Amino acid sequence: MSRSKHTDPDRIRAQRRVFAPRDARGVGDLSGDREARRLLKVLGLHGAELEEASGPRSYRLPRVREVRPRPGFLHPASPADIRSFLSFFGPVCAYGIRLIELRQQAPNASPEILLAVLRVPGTILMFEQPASPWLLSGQMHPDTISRLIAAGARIETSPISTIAHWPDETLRDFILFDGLMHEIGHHLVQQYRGKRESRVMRTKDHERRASAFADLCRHVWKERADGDRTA
Amino acid sequence: MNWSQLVGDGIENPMNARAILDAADMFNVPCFFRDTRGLADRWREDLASASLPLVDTDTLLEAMRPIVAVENAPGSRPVYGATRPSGTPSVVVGNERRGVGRDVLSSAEKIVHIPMGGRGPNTLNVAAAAAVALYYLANRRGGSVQSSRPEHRRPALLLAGPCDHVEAGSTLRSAAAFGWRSVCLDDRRGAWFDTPRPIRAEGRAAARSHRGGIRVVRIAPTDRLAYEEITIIGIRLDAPLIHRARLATGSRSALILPDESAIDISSEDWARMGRSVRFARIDLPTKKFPYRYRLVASIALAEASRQIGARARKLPSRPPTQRLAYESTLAAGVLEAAEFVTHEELRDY
Repeated sequence: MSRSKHTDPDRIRAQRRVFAPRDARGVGDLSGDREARRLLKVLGLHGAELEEASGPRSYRLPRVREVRPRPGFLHPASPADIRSFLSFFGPVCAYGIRLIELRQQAPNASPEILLAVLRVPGTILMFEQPASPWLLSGQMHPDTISRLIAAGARIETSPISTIAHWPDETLRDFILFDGLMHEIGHHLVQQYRGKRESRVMRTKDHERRASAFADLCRHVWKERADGDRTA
Repeated sequence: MNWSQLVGDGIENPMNARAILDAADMFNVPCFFRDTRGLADRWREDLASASLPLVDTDTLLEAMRPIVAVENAPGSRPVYGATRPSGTPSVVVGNERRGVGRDVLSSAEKIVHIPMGGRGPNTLNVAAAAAVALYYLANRRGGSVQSSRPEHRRPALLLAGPCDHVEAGSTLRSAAAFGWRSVCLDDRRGAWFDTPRPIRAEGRAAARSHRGGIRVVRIAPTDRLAYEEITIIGIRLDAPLIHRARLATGSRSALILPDESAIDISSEDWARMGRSVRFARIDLPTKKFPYRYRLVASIALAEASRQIGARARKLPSRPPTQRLAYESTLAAGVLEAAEFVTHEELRDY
């Protein structure tokens, strides 16, 4: 088994780094901790006292910046929603994210509806969306319709337009999972491969993993919500 | 004294000649024809009641100078931003298929072309081309625009209530030539979809192997549309001039070209089509002329196409370093209920 301090599993490394983002690389790893414990033992102190001395553990969440949406549009997920969401999913998701920005969409954007963008490394842009109901020109692709329905939207279709109604907080959850967590899925693929700024796999595989990660997060979130309701 | 005169050179179809006369009336200029392909005979057969003003070759090449030829010829300049020669220039448009005659081209002081961004037909109906050329030569109204991504600046296009299938067809041809690949058609007058067209259907079936074409999406006058911004363009409006309006606003906005001979723009409920409604007016020197939908619509499409711009020619350089980015998007709408009209069909309009 390797004793290198750089071969921690992802989860342990993320946990360690988010608590000390500006410390030198070796600070806080287990070897340093063991060394400190040996010194404490020599001094007649114990490990429990060491943990108490360090106080409650907290880490800084990524910065969330909001640009006010245009009239008729909104940011379905507020900065507070995003922070509580990232806190729920823990440091593994937050590690390496530098900025999350809630933006207006460019007026000449492509005809596709842009939810979010990851700019490698670690910048996520989330875009304003029209207020519910969404009036979409043309008939949508069946895959898109099934995706919207799975997210909780109620769909009305006509030959030239599609109307998506978003009851309650379904639009917020849709943006958080299909936008934010999808992009965090992309980020994790890049972050834990060591080559943060270069393409680590073909786009199709990248997309598949990001979608699987977003689905997993949705499942975990739903289970927690169901658990809260039954409790 | 007139600022110009319009000359049709070698026109074959008397209906096109009639439309060219209407284009000249729109701009309050006289119109003449150099008959090299038997137009006068066909004119007498089809439109015996009206007279056809003719001009011979010597008069055209000597007494009617300076000549501005509208032709997509080598060395021609875009009509956008073109200045007209001093004096009373003759604006010459050519035969439907062969264009302006060589003798006229070699005598012309200036050759201009109408830039087109489409992948399909690269010519307009001759009367539409005459109207567009006169519109830009009458006054300088902005030059050519270069854009890095013109397709992202192109708005959707909706033709509202054309009364005549030839006018609708010519307008579709103009739309295809200026780069639109799908058009919504509010066919409340039954001019396009409800005409008996067995021959056209045969031709369409036979021509399906052709690549390209334009998709015509039928919409009802009561349909709700989802555009962020719509711009209604007409000539009988109290609104900002079209070249000062912002037309290249991207695919989330739409241009609406109503047939003003059938639609009262002021009484229509435009709010059902978009969140923000704007109007723009085509500036013409006179209000008294026979209205032709294809002429007005082609001018509007030309101005929109000018504002959308053409892709700048790239100089050989190092490729830009593109940062890695991943997007999550919802796919755009697909328009399955559309009729596919090939470029070959549009050539007949």
